Amino acid sequence: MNLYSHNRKIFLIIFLAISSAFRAYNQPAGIFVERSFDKAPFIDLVEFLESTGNIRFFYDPTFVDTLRVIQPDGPAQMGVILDSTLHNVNLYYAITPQGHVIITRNAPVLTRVPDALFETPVVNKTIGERFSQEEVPVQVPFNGTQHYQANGLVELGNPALRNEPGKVSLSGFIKEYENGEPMVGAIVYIEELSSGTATDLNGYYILSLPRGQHRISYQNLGKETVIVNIQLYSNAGLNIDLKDKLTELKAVEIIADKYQNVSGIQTGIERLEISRVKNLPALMGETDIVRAALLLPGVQTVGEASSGFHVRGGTSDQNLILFNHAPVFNSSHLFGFFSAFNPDVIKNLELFKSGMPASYGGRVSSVLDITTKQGNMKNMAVNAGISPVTGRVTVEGPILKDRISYLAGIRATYSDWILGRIKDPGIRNSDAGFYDFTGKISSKISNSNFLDLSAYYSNDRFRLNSDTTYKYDNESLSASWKHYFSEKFIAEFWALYSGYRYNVSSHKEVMSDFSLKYGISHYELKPEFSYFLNERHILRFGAGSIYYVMNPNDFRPLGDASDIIPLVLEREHALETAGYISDEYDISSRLKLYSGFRYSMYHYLGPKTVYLYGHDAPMEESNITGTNSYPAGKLIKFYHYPEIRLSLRYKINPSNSIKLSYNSNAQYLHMLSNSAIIAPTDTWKLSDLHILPQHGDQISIGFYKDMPYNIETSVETYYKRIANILEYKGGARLINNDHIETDVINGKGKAYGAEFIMRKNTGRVTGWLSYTWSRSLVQVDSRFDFEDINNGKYYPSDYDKPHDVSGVVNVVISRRLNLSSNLVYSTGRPISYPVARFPFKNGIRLHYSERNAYRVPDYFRWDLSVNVEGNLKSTKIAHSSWSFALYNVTGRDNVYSIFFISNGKEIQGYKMSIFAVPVFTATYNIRF
Amino acid sequence: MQLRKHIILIWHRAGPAAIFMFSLINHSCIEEYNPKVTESEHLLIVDGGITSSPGPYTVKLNLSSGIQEVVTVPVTDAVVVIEEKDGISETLTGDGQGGYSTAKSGIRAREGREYRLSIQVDDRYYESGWEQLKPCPPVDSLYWCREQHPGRSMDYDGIQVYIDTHDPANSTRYYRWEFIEDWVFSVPISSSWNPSVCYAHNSSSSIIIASTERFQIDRLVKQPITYVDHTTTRLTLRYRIILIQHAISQEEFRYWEAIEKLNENLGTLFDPIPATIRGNMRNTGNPDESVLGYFTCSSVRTDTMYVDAEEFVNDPIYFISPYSYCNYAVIRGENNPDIARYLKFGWLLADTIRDGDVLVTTMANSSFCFDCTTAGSAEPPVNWKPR
Repeated sequence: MNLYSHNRKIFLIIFLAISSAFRAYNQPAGIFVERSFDKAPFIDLVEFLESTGNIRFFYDPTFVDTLRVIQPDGPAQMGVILDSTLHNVNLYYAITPQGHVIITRNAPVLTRVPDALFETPVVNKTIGERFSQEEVPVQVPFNGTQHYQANGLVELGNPALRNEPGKVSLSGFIKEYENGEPMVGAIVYIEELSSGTATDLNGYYILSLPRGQHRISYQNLGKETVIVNIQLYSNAGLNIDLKDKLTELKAVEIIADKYQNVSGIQTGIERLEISRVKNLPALMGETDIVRAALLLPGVQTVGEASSGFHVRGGTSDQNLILFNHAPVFNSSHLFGFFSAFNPDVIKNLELFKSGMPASYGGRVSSVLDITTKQGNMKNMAVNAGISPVTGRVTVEGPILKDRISYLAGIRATYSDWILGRIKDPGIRNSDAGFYDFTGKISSKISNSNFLDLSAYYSNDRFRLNSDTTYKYDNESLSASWKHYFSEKFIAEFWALYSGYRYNVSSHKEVMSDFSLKYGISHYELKPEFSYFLNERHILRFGAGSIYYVMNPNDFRPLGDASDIIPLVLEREHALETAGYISDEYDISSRLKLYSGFRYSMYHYLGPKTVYLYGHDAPMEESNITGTNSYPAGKLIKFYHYPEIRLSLRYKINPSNSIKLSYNSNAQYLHMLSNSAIIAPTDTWKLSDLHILPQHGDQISIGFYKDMPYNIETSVETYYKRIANILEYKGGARLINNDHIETDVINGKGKAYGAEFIMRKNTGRVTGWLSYTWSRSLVQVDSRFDFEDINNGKYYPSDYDKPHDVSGVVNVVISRRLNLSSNLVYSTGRPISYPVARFPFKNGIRLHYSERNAYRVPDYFRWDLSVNVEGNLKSTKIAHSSWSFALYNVTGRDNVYSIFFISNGKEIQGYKMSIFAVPVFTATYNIRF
Repeated sequence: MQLRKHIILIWHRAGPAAIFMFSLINHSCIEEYNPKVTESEHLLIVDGGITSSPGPYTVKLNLSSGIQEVVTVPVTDAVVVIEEKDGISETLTGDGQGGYSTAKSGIRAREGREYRLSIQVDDRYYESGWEQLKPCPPVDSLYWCREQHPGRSMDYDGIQVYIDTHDPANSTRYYRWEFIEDWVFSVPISSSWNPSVCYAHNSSSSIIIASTERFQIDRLVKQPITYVDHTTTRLTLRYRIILIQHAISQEEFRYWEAIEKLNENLGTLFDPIPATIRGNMRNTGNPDESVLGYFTCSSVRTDTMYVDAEEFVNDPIYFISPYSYCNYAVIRGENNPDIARYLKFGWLLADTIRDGDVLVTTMANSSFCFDCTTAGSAEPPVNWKPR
């Protein structure tokens, strides 16, 4: 018999053995052999025994052909003879319950399955270890969570409590196996109960389950799914590490997947994975998360050079941009072409268009929450890249393995000398550059205490052909301490600082040399608590207090030749405080309600001298009736708003749901900008005695459906109202103006629309297609008609684009090659044309009155990119990749603005486009 | 070690590639564009003012037209009155074409006094506020500096005209300038019956304003007025600029500032959003009605400067001649059939002279090339001082 059939025989035998596991055991071994076969060939013994009764011997003849029986003591039991004969030659025997003898080499065949598989085990085990009878039952408290890396059966909790009534909680952290990074949005799902949950931003999950046996699957796209069979006795914890699926190098799928689409409670949330954003064709090779957000439905921009974005008809200052929880006041670099965030340090971003949780507040329209990665807790890693505009390096690694890690990323331009080679004199004599730095230290002090510190700094400077230099910087520091009182009660304490400063200066050794500075500082303390009350309620509550100090206008002479009169306006101070409480209530398995209440208060404080105006006259400089001086800390004006956040989700069946939400928001800080896009001299103004806070509310209904082939679809409609939008009077001066209230005027806005999106998240071809129909209108109807814009009628806002289509497709051609395409089409933005020409003082001048009555031509752009990965050896030192992008493939000269210039004698119209040709770029990335 | 080598390699390889890529990128593109603008408003335009120079003062009244239309409609039967506060008032005489003037010996504005314009059109009554005539400091110095200015497709060579002025009383603060240019130019082809040397004229239309409100001392040094470059004939022989300096009110300055922002410095990424600008004229019965224009009230000072071509002899300016396409032919003999041939091409007879017995005829392809009155006047302007 050859080895193969030998093995097959063994398999068959084992199968037979298992199937008769409960049979009686010992009898054949006790057969008494009356003759002596000592020194006789073993085969003779076999023949003798087989002829006597119901014994069969199974063996490989080659084992025994030279074997002689050892039977020194005469007649004996068969078992004894076999023991002595086979032992020395490394042969073993086993007797099946049917009485057959199997002879094997090196090890015996087990004729029974371990008892543990079929009875409730008494001892705790981790799979991978052989069971040993010495193990004693061990209570598993929350802190003693178990890590494991393979499928199998796990016991959790205190077995003594196994018969207690009621449900228990199972919680823990899901982390990436390779570097210990928390996995956000990973799904924990129990199929038989049709229940599950997703991990939060810290990778934490908690589920409420009945005691007993369950089969839980832990999955995240791009990772190997882990399925665990557990025996749950009491509240317990289980941490899981998920490994990358090595065959799929690109995590191109969007994480906001099937689970979120139908089961997620909130409307209007978009979550983007940074790896997905990195695959999109990038302008000038720079991955830009704000541009990626523009491809989502409901998000508009005024034009390519604008870093501001508009969510569902809101102005660009109505978006709260958080970077590690600290707000960012100017989120762009280089005139608005690039966003100020280094993509290599970002982990993920979430955009709340409606359905904002009660823990967020301070802006009316949206929250863009960007979190950075944690440093790799296990190994040092370096990521670097170079694009035509910047070079960047990110280093991360452990300071204390599995306990403290660091992350540091820096990105900087090197393009100054390149600018000098450009033909256009406007650019040739310019000087532009920026850099940004992000750092984070994450530490696990104990199993229930985590401390994170992050820092961010970005710096821009540019000097266009004129000799005026613009410089600005953003800086922030965040510190958070997360404490788990128990697995159900979690607290997080935040201390944040965020600052924004700009400096405009001109130094030509002439009398008009000046420097103009602006600064705003934001200091915040924020405690937040989560309490998993029971399986139906998750309570969250907390508070936050922000202290603002703003230096609105510091205008001074610069250099000895300057004759400027300084104008330094008084600093402004304010305190914005809020408290919130929310409950996520599972009314039934289909109906879930999120109700949140946030109450915000604002105190505008002295020291400050304010102007007073006559009541029945328009707010103009000529109507100032006096001033009032307030000492330090004295309350000048108090505002407060209750903010309601409600969301209801009804799951019709596992692939269809309806969601409804209503929220209201207040905003106490405003951006002053006299142009349609964010200009370098835009400033933020605090609400004061004359400038009211903005507030708005929105109602939104959506229908979500998961289709076959992993396609998700949804339709969301919304209606939004905003009060106290700031608009500007003709000739408004926002700089060196100590009474800005005379140059601004309040309007109200309304916006409504419907957003359709279809997404495919898995497979070779992924992407989405969205169509939004929306209107965004503003009305400025003052008490005094001459201040009205457009005669007090509603007019389209600067970013009212009724039709907006975005299509993103990503095709994985091979494991090293990936193709990505973006397509954007939208109605042209509104623009104002002059309505009259008039001769005045020897020249022809233009008169504008109707606002935004016309539109620029429609916008269309198609971008392509190809990402080529280096070779696929998983154990090489460094991995590199190239990214080739072609922006604006069709070369369409999308009109950015249309303007008219009167050169005195004639009027000529012009159109301006930013990119009139396709732009090709290549970027190189390397990772250690 | 390995890491550092890798990084250095990246920079070396990527550098030249990056330059190439960057230069492919076209900067923003501005093109002429004529959209259809159908909206138009016909509003009253008040274009007039008084100055410290002796009258007469003129006010032009028109109705505005849409930007596609060419003609404005004059308002011919209005009653226009200029009055001095606590003083005389004068009703202006209309010329039937929308212009209204004071009499030669009529009202004369005096420094320190306030003046108001009122207009009655049909049953609507408009008036300005009381505008004060502030004194105007003299021009300290009107001068030029040779400068090259970069342009879109080429660099320009020429002179930048500057002025210096100051008010020792620190009260003027707001200034506006206009200028009048006259210059001598010649045509390349001489002609016996046409003048070869003429005088061209231009009066400024762009908005030139400045304020010293941000300075301690009310002084302006090297305030740019205009740039005269090598693409015009202004500097080829003799050029004169008469500068008129106005001292204006803060309100008038703000008006000009707002108009300038919306009319002139456009085409950047940060253009302001157009909004309605109000002048100082109001309809007393309907104060919300838009009235275009402004009743200006400013005292003036003038200064004159001549620039001769000789001043550039050490560092010549290479002019782009407007006559570069001029062509001529010299034909000898009477009744030469060539003459008829050239005439058929559309050429013109430029000159005929007698060289001994022979009639020498010069033909040129355009009268612009031999008759300078096509671009100017043979008569020198008023007060022209020849070299």
